[in-house]
Amino acid sequence: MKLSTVFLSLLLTISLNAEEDIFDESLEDIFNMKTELKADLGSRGAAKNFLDSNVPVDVITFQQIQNSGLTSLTDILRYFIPGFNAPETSVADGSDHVRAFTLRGMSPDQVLVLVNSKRVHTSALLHVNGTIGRGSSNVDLDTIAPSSIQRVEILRDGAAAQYGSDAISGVINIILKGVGHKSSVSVHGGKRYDGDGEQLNADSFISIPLKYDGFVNLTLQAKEQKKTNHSGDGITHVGIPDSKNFSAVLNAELPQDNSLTLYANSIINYRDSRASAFYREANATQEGFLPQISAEVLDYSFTLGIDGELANSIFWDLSNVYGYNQISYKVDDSKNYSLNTSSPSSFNNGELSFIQNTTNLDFNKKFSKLFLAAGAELRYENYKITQGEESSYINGGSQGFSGYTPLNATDDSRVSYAMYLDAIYNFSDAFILQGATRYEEYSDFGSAVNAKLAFSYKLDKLLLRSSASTGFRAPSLAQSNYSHTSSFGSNIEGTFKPEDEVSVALGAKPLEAETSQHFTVGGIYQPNNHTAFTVDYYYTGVKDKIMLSNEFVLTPTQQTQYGVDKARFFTNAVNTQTEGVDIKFNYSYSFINSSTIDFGIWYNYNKNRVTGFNDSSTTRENSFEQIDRVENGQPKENIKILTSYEFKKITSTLNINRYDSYSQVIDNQSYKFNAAWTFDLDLNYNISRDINIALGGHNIFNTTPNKWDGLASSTSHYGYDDIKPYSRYSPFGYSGAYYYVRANIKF
Amino acid sequence: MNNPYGDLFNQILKEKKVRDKEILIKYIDSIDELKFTNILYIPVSNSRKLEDILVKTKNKNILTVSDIRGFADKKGIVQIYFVSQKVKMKINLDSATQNKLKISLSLLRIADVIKEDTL
Repeated sequence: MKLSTVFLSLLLTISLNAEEDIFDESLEDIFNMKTELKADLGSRGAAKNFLDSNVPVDVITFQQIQNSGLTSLTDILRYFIPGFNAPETSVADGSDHVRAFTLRGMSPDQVLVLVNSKRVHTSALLHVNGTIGRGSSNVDLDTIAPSSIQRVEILRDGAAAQYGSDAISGVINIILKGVGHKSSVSVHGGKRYDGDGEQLNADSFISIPLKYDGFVNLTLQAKEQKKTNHSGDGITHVGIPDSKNFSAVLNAELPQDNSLTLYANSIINYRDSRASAFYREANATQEGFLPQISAEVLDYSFTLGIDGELANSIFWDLSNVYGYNQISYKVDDSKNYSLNTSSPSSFNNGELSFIQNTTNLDFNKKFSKLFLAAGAELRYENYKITQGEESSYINGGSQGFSGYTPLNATDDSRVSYAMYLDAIYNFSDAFILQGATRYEEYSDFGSAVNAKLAFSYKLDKLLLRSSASTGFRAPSLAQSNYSHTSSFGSNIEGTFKPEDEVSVALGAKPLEAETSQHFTVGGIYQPNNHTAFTVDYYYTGVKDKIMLSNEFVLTPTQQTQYGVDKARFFTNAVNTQTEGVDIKFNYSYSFINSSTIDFGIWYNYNKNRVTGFNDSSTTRENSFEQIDRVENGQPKENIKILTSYEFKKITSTLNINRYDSYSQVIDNQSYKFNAAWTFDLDLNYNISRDINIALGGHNIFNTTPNKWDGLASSTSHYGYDDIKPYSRYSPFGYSGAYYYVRANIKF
Repeated sequence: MNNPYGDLFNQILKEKKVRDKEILIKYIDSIDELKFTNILYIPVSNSRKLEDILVKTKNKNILTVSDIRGFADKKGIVQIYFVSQKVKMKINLDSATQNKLKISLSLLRIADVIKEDTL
């Protein structure tokens, strides 16, 4: 045996947990072997095998992303993660342009998103229409070019005691490509079964290696998505919006000849997206028209940091992340009825923006059996609404979407501080205990202390794990300060700030933080190196969940007093409980003929319940639609069967999904939508080592959700049955099959 | 002793031979304890001591191996690193020559090679 084979085998064995026959493999085969899949999430120590984690973690690799044939990160997570839901909504104003997503059926703002383990800012958009995610803001995942990503880690557990506010249903950590990736260019084109929804995507990834394994990586993506239309009347636009999307992602690390490493990353995104409102009927004086709502999204973040090691093996990391998101609304092909014939047809309706600047200083040190991490965080946030032009909001404003008024305009900031301590103690190789605590103070609502305790215990091939923690989510600046009102004659109506006298008259109180309790217990059984069974039960209780109230009609006395007809506002409306189970079976095997198979069956059962109401502004009776959306608006069960088979030059990937039924309420009546299966297939052919082409499809058998059952036909172009034949909650959209080709060249 | 791998190396290499010779593994806390070896593996936890270690192994016919970041650029001989789930290797040919070691062509073919003119 050669010396080189021996030492390589040695090092690989550490990572591979390989069987002894690794010593009989050739060097080429050893270099082609897959090492264990690691994740940073879950603890602040070095990345570790995700199957050894004391909390449930999933990892999606860049190879999986590439073979999915998807060009949107939101779709990628929906493709791979059971319990991750991201409907494609339409005729829902801003929510058409910034997709809401949920994990375990909870609010989009109850998921914390990180890039390279640093907090990402959310979108300035607050979902205020009747969509999944109503009343919350989420990170706009589609700002990040998928080809810039090395892996995505998903922690399915509460982690506010480690990462701070928002980490209630889970944490998504997007790790950008680092050293060693080849430069590449790729193109992707496709269309829907019905011939619409054409998509053209081009991206390039350029990697420049630097000394000491440093690198500068730049990813550019340009994507054009044409709309789909499945409206019942053939006039209204019901489907995916027209959009153009440009992204640039920079990721760089510059190690020095001492222990210092300078690092930086930047994500810049511009999106121009266009969808419609409901059709406005013709009348005696004017023709009908279909208002077009355009959202220009500008999003960027800059991260700068430096890390190093002190003489006593204390590792430190100082970083600053500045993030900005802006949405500018325009409405075309519309009218302001009050301006009669002098009304313009195009309007500038105002702008939403959000700034988040986060500074972190972290330390960690490993003692013989103890790992300690401590750190501090300073965060500044600013939320702004800029009014639209007068014609967009005056006397009812532009049809389809009225502009933000001078009364809605706001400019609000806050500062928060946090300190944390994280400890992991290895009692033995088998028994590991983890504890974490975090103190956080916000300038606008107070402080919070949270804690987490987790353990893992390894019994030969079985790993048992459990965790219990508390968490919180501070009200977002948007929830505290958003208002959007329209005037109709002498009175106005719309969404008011919680502190507004109108809201207070209706029972609103200053917003408080949501608090949460989490418990998970489960285990992983690995009978051999190819197979893993995972079962995890979880429970999350949320107290004082913030929701956007129903629209209340003010009493005649109140209407006279405030000049307001109808109002809604954000409130700590309810308490919720989420519980469920994740069951997974993974099998991975390399055959003698050099073919490999990766097979996984993942099942998620998830149940959300509203268990308490905090005041009379929200009850099961007066807010049936809002409560039913929380409890039944998303599938309770999701099955994913993922198979990837690689043989010589061909890789085939099949993804079978089953989405459970769900329901949507219209006019206080709940309508059920059936469970459905969808199939995705990708066939990839490697022309050479560096050139590959592929063809594939998503939802290849063109499954569409069932239509409303029993809903009365609309008598106008405003409504559901005839206009919007499908529920906007559909977890797999309603645009049908999508077929594509793609090509990728590495250099 | 600062040994992140416990008894793993001994277990794996039990009864393994290279050219009919048994493999003997020794763990040392300090480079000053080093007497003779064919291969010296330097764990990441020694990254701050790397310069001292490489000075003391220079010209001693020792193959230095490590997964410390930038190891090959810092005059180590063989660096192992990981890109996603694949293992990669970087070899500093000048350092190998300086330690009077010849690296086989088959190994060089699958590794990234650093020579003076590539630095």
